[in-house]
Amino acid sequence: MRRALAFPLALAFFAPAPARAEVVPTVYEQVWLTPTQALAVALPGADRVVPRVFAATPDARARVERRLGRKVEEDAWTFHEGVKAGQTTGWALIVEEKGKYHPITFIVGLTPAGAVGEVAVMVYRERRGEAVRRRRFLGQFSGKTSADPLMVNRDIVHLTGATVSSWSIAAGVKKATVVFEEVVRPRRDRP
Amino acid sequence: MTRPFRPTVAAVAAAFVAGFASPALAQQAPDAPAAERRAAGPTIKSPTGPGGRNITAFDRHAQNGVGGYYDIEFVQSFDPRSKGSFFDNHRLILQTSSYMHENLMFNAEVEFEHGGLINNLTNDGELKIEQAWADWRVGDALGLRAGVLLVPFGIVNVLHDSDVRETTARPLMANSIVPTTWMDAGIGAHGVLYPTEDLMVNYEAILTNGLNDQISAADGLRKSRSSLKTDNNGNKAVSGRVGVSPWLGLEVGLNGYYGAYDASGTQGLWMGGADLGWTLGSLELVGEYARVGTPGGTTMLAGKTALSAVPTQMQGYYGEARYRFFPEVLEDTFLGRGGGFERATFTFFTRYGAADTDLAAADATDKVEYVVGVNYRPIQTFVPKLEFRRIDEPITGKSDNAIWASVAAGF
Repeated sequence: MRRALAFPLALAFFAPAPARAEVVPTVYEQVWLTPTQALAVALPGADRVVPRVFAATPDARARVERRLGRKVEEDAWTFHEGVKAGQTTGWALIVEEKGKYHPITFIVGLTPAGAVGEVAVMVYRERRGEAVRRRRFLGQFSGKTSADPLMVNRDIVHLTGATVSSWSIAAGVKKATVVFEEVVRPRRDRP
Repeated sequence: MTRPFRPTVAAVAAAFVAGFASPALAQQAPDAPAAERRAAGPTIKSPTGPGGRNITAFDRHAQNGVGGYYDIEFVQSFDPRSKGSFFDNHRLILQTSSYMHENLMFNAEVEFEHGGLINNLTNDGELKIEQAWADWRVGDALGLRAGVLLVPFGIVNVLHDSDVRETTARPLMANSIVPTTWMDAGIGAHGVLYPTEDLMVNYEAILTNGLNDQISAADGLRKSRSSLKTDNNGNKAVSGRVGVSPWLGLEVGLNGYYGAYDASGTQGLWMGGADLGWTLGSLELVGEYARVGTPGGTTMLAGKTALSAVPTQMQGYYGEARYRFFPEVLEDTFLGRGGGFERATFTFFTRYGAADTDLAAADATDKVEYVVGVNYRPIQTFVPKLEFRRIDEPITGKSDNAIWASVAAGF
């Protein structure tokens, strides 16, 4: 009897462990705007768009983090300058913020003075939550500046069913306005 | 003597969770090309699957999620007629949702209330299916649904989850007028439309067994919720809600219900109502109104030996204001970023409401409530709450003052 049990017990002991199941929701990548399309939305009327890279120096990073109250990951920020007839028409920054499970990629357009212009979602990776791309949600960011809270439950109304995405986009817009002020504006003549 | 088999709470819970707890394994899709897969036939019956010849959740190529919510409540009543103070292990809801296909979904909630059915089967609690439906999403504007459905009437009945509600106690009208949680077996359709960039319209309409004849001034519609097994009169009830949101933050809903409730199917009950949700920055205003009408007459209530009158009119309403804030002085403490909670929020709330289960009679069925309290959410789905609630009976002059507290966790 003991011998009869020995073989299955040994098999069970030495059998390879089954792969551990991880709760990683599938990425449902929905590309709503390419970078070129997004820049056209965020910088309307510009003849040309000039990418400008601003390094996240320790000093700049510290200032941004202090104002945001959170860490920032980037080593540099690529702002796109919209130009028409030699004049700056606006700026745009492509931002990535973590949504409920996956990052949301979106563009934040800024006026030369740093106020928010157009915001558009470029890539969304959650299964549901398409409403985040609609103007009824994104339109509320227009005209906000770094001085505004840009927070759900304060000056931003969240989308029911996409609350985390709403928080994330608000946080990304806030970051764009603060980075612009700390990194871009000090280097240029203020309008 | 052989004892009848009754599953224990623990066994049912374990089986429920075990069946859905391995999403990554369950979602493994076959890599073979489509033609090859079709040629192989339905593999779910394969005797070499994870469960041998038995079909398991791993055989079903679904993407599953397990969740639910839990709340524990404490009530301190100052009414000498009441029980004083007590803890109530009120709700443990196990929920599973499963995508079998991008547009095919199943969702279920099994609820253990208070003690479930333990405590020597003294019926101290409840074990029930609160929702179980299969959904076919044809598009944003149309989804088809069948199963045990939440009746789409008002706000609280559908959004009743403890971790979603700001208060511990539900509004008075949710007890007797819109008997929350009100679910019924049937079929329905739902959808969302955007006629313009700003305007959103959503709807849900269902056909179900409907309320039965256990309607009384004492309990309102609470005991008339239908069996999930059969229909007392064979006539189906129709109910629905249309929500209109002209801009983000404001939604107005119109609700309706009609169905025969008596065994002969000749007496009809109608309900009409409206609801409002309006967010203005940190301030949110929520309200509901519902009115019930019946032809009256009498009915035989369970456990009674004489006929009871069916009220001809009932109504209930409430308005609730919520103000969300987080003091900057707490930002670096364990309640805020210092504790790792980036989006912690306090909510101060106050509610006024009323319910009258027999408008024709001026008696103890007229009730008014006042609630004031605060809650704290370190994250969206974890919330300790504290509130003071007063219920007045204006006609009799009686009132009940109580402190309610709870911790609710959505997981």
